[in-house]
Amino acid sequence: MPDQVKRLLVAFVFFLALFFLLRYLLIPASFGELGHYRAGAIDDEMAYQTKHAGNEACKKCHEEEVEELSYGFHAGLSCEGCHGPALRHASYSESADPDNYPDSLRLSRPMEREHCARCHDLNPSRIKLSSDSTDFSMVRMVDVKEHNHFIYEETNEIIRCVECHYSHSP
Amino acid sequence: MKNKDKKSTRRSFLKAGVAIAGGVAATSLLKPFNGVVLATEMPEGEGPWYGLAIDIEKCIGCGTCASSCKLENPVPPEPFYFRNWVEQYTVKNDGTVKVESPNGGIGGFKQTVPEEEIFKSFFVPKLCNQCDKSPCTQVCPVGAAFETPDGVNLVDKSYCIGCGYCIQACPYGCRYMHPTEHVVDKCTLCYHRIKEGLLPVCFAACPTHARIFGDMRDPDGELVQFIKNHTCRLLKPHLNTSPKLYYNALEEEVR
Amino acid sequence: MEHHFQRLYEALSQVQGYIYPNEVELYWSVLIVQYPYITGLVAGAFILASLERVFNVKVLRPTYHLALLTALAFLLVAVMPLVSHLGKPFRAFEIMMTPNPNSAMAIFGFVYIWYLMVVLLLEIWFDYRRDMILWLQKAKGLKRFMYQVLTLGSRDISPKALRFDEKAGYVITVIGIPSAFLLHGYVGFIFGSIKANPWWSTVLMPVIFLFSAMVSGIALVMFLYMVVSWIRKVKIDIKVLDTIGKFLLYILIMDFSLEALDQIHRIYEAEESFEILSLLVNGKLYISLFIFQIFMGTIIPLITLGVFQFYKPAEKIRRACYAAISMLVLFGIFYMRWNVVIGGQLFSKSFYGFTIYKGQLIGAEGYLMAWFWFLIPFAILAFLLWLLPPWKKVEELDESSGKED
Ligand code: HEC
Ligand code: HEC
Ligand code: HEC
Ligand code: HEC
Repeated sequence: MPDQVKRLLVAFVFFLALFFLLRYLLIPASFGELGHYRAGAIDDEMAYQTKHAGNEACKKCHEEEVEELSYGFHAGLSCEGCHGPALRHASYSESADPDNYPDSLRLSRPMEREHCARCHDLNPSRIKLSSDSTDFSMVRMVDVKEHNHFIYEETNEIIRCVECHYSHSP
Repeated sequence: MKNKDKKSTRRSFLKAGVAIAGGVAATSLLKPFNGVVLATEMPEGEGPWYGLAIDIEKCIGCGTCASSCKLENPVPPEPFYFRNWVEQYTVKNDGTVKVESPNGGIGGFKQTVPEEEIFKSFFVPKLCNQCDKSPCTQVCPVGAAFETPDGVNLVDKSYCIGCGYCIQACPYGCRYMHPTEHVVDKCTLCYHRIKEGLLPVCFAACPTHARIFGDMRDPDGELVQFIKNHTCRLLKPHLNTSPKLYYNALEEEVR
Repeated sequence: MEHHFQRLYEALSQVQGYIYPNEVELYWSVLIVQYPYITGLVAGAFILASLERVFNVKVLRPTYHLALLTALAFLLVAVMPLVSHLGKPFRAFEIMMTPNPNSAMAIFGFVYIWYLMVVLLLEIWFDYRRDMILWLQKAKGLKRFMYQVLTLGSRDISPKALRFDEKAGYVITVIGIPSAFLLHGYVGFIFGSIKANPWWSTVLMPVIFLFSAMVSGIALVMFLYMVVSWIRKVKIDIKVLDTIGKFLLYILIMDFSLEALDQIHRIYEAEESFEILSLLVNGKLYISLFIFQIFMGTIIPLITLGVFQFYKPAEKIRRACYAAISMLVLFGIFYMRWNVVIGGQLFSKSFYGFTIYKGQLIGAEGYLMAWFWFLIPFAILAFLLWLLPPWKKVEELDESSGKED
């Protein structure tokens, strides 16, 4: 073998050795256990904390609302769809005393007309039900601009839906 | 002479034909072709294999799925990053299609086309299709995009190099580069929730139960029953990505 | 961050039609345009060098080593735009540690290393070994040190050893041609294999990339040959230019035909994506495609070079024309990459609308950065030419030793 090739070979072997050493050192521990990925990534994903508690969790303290909701037209709705993520709210156990309730855990009370309009406003993209339809899984639409739309003279505010309809059992 | 020749060739041709047909029949008996109902071939294995279905007829376009997803997961609030969004399709009388998704549908929709011009209109909620032959995991150079054994496509955020190749490869536009973490982010099907027995948050938030989540391996489960009893279609089936998201009443215009 | 969102809101307000909400931002910016462009220059320059060696095109002798060094200079930088574009540049090594065998991009790391270490460096090493040993004796300081390291301590310049060098170089060149094809066809495959994107997804993509790479590499060497001669104040050999021009013409014709074939095919098949693509081509890409890429980068050079095959004007005019053509071609091929990379992201995968690309001047993905990565190779080349000047190589030994076998 010519001298120069020997020298080249040494250089190549050096680089290859370096490469395999690095490979040995740098590949994460659980890589390749389940497939071509880091199996630990699944645990990482599972470790993420959810922020939504679900309707069941509210029962403990708001039995009334949960009951009302489950018997009314809004039975299919989730509390948190209207009030926002409530896990932290629901897991605050000393909260039995409403007077000391920390403000940071308070949830929103969406009372604007737009909030109801999101689901109930007239929109040709929604399936229109006839007035005598008994399919209560589909939403009934009202024209939010028309339906009982009047303005209080004293405050100049538009009447809110929740003044006539009870959100939890409309 | 000639005739005889022909006959014999014909016979051997027939023979070969029978043999081929037999072979096909035999192999199909051995391995029944179950790709029709579910459009994906289920991998061997134990445990759940998650799938999803969306009933477009039931979607009212309230956007609760999209907003609850952003509140649940570390998705930036800006309107350029979505794991989950709703589109409003409006086919006009002249045949043109208008698609809208203002802020991904968070906060609801307004129909901007006058009613008399509308031929038909509907909402289509979108999220990661959790493809079985997912092009995004195929192209990831380092193995940071992967499919879990239970059929959920995830991103390993501590390993992603942020090259964006998977974003290019996803035909459904379901991936984005996280602006502050500089790695790719996508729908995880709320993996942290489903592994605790909860529904993914968008499924739990849906007021009309337009979204169905379930185990494709459970033949009596709601998901498989739904797929069985409805005319379900997939998004961009010609790309053969084998999505596990089934749409009932999906229209031709939806892409 | 605020600034970033500001730009995106601006882009959002200029969206036409409907795009998926995640598509407002273009993730592959001008740096990713740079990447196939630079790799293309490498492959092209190398193929020009190989032409000379394997097919023994004697006229091109003065550009042989220049082409090799150009290829090296650009190859050293080729991955830098890619790496600096990554969201997490410091994780780039993972691509070598745990390459996903299914990913087109992962294998690129290995193709790159193969091409750099096994083809280019080895070929240049065998080519320059004797000269480095000879120069070593006279050199001082840094140069001397560099030669000492680069020769790996080898000192054997017996005719036998030199004959081996020559043979090894030849073998490597022969291996190198398919490797150069691989390198750049491969870059084309990275785009061509994305089935989600109809603008990219075509089997012709690797071939088109390859031919456009050759076009750009040849033009670059032509340009550099003129510049280097001008700086060294030696006469430009017009025969060299004529020959390179001829090759350029042939390959330009092939490149153009392939690209035309691709477009004709698209137009004739007129698949689902046809409407949006034709809007794209006639709208957002009009200037960069029809004017920059096709007219300036292809038609003008084609006509000029074509005319030169039948009618040769005075040397001075031809020289000026070649200089202009090489720059036009380089410009046109850059826009070819641009049209592929940026064009492929301008339209929505829903086929219902367009987003816009607003480049920035500064910042990690800005034009300045792109220019930086384009100019660095020239600095490296200057260094290489200083270290390994092709014109100081001892030529005469070649005749006696190399060509026997
Ligand atoms: C349709 C949206 C909607 C849903 C679903 C909903 N709420 Fe409410 N909720 C409201 C609104 C609006 C208010 C405030 C207006 C009001 O008092 O009528 C409110 C008020 C409340 C209050 C405060 C009542 C008070 O008297 O101060 C509680 C507690 C509450 N909700 C609990 C729940 C729980 C628990 C659920 C689920 C079982 C639920 N909500 C579901 C809309 C909703
Ligand atoms: C550990 C008991 C507890 C649980 C569980 C709980 N809450 Fe509450 N909630 C409270 C208390 C205490 C208040 C404060 C009442 C007040 O200020 O009058 C409150 C108030 C509210 C209000 C009124 C707005 C506010 O923040 O003042 C809403 C809406 C509400 N809860 C929703 C929910 C929902 C939805 C759930 C289920 C996810 C839930 N809560 C679960 C204790 C609880
Ligand atoms: C997340 C979507 C959603 C929101 C927000 C919402 N609703 Fe509903 N609403 C529904 C659904 C679903 C039904 C059940 C189907 C039906 O009967 O229309 C319903 C039913 C009703 C009904 C009974 C209609 C009937 O059948 O007679 C009334 C009234 C009503 N909602 C009023 C309201 C008001 C007032 C608000 C605002 C506080 C509101 N809704 C907010 C989804 C929503
Ligand atoms: C002044 C009281 C009042 C206000 C304010 C009001 N509603 Fe009503 N709403 C009624 C009454 C009464 C009915 C039942 C009679 C009817 O169908 O009009 C009704 C019916 C409905 C229905 C059922 C329609 C159907 O076809 O069965 C819906 C949905 C509804 N309201 C939603 C809303 C929404 C959303 C708002 C706020 C934008 C709102 N309402 C505001 C009094 C009110």
